[in-house]
Amino acid sequence: MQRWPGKVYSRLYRPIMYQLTKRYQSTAAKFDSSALPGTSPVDNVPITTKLEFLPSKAKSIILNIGLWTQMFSDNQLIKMYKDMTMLETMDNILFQSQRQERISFYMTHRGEEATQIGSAAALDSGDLVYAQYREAGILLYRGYKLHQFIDQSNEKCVVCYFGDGATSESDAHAAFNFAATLEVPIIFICRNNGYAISTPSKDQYHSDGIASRGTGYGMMAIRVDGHDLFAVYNANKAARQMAVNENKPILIEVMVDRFGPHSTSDDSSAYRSEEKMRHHAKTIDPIERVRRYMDVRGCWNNEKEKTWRKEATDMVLKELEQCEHIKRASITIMFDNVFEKVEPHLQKQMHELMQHVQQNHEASFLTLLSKYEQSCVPDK
Amino acid sequence: MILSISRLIPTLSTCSSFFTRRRLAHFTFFKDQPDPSYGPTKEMNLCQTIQNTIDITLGNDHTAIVFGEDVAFGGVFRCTADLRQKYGADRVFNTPLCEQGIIGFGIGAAVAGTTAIAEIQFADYIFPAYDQIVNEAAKYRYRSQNLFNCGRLTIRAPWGAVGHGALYHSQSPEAQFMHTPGIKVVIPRSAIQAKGLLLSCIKDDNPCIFFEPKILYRSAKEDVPLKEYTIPLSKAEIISEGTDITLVSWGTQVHVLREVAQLAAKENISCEVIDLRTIVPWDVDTICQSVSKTGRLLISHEAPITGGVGAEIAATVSRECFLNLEAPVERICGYDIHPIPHVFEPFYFPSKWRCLDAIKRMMNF
Repeated sequence: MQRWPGKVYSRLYRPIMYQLTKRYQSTAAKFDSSALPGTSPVDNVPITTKLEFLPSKAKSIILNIGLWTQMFSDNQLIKMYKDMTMLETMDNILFQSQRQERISFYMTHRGEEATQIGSAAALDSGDLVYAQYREAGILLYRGYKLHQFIDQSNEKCVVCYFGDGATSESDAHAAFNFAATLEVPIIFICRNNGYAISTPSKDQYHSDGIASRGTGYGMMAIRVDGHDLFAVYNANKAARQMAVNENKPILIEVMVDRFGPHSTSDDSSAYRSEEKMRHHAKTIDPIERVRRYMDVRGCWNNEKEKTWRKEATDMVLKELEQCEHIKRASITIMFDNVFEKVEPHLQKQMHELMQHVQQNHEASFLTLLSKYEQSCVPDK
Repeated sequence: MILSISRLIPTLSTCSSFFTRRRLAHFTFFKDQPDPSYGPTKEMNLCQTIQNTIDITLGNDHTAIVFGEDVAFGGVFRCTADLRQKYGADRVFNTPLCEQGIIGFGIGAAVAGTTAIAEIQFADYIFPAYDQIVNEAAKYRYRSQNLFNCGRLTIRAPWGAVGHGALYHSQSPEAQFMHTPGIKVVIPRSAIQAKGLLLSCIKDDNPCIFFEPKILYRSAKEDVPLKEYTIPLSKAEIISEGTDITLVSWGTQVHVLREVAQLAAKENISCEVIDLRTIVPWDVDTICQSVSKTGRLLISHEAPITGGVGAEIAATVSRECFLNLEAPVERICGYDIHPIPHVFEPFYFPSKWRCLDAIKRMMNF
């Protein structure tokens, strides 16, 4: 090997060593978290070099920092707790009131209650507080009266029914998310009957039904046997109480079976065994279950059953017959309620139609017309 | 619950399926004859023809897939019947109940090189997918300056009045898509037309929406050629020639106009009936040449009149054929109410009577 001139060698040595050591240093460098921008609230979350996915049904990890609970007396603890919960309650209620236009503006403190009360408790009562806008908790802790915040509540809730198929629509996502984030008293009742027309639930979702989605939105959920009248009642009763009193949405997934086809336009034998469904229906018929309970309880019997069934059938058939003889509504009604008032362009079209109707004397047209109530066109 | 049969019988006639309802159809179906050069034919109705067309596509194009709600068992109108057994679950499958997802997925599949045939169960339900169609599918090629495109996407949806569809099974939303550059909208009037036009849509390298007149699914029976054939897009068809007035429509309404032409002929009015076929890009030349000859134009469509496709045609013709017009362009369409209120359908409709009245008005202008 030719010996390189000493000068060249020394000239090259430093840059080479620098490059080599630089690379070595970069791979061996300890991660310096202070080099990261510190604006994220999760600054102190340790960084891992392991490539790891969370499982699809992961439990969330809750961070518990050391609790020195012994320094508080029972009374203090209770006061702090009550203030946190009062803040929460006030937030729920007043936010709702703004939505109902009963107050003009509100900002909640959801998630920051511990921050508010904890910090207020650590202060001396003579300390001056300069607040921004999300510090009502501090005022509360210091004795600000509720009526000074303006406090109202609402006793009603909303109930929304839908099937398992409908939960795949983006509407459902928006509805769940809005209900949860806006904290509204809604009970979402999903009738999961295993089919969306012909589509079985295995083609509709791969989650653990619909109830499992509740946690994804931060919403409480329950799954109920939909064939059990009392189970459904109890779940709904409990949900309503929570919804109305706590201003939050509840998701109830009711497991049922659709014994019949989707509709009169559907022949379900094309996609499932009718034999199987009939057999299944016999064993879990919800009406039968209630009937059996009533029998056992002694408030129903075969005699009553027979009489009632006949009465019910008669009522329905009688109504059906009567309805068939009623004339259809007047034609001009079709222009009503497109807008609040019948706008000028619609009035013009209505007059054109009525003119046309009056001039048409073709036999089949007149027969058709006779099925409708006489139209009375209002003056222009 | 047990009902005695004698009580049940009077109700049976009204408790029948979607298609056998006893209601007077508002039109008479005019059968077309197949092109003899297309070889052997088979009598098929519109839904069988659609099934045949998709079958041919899946057979010839190994990348082709068909998907949508209830597609696997054959579809609520049986347009995908037996295809899953023939081509497998990978190519014929159900999607979750989400139109936004169906089209979004279809766009992605098309971009990746699949011939994607997406079914929307009723045109009335296409609106959750409207953003995907307008802001994604229609703009794909344009926003990437031709780096990417979703031309291999075809969207099919049952369309139009059916007699008892009410507000959510009767809509004809073609105008809402005509207003969006970048997509093609095609509406056939019959089985023979449907096959050729659908195959053209599938082969066309632009995203296409193919609306299928659902009232014709069962009633439109024709001798449809068995071989594969295409009908060019953006080409209107002059169905019958005339000299006094041009009548333009598409889909089911073409048959109404054909009957109107017959009625008008009895009063010595010669009508030229044109089926537009492709709503956008539409065949301006054929329509304008016809109107330049006749001097009068009547456009008729089921959709409400304001802002309908007729408005676009009327405006263009008024400009192009101004000096040739003998009477103002007329549009006989649905009223500006929600299409279609159940019991008022016969009165909502642009019926043959209303069309005939308009023709006489124009002749006497």
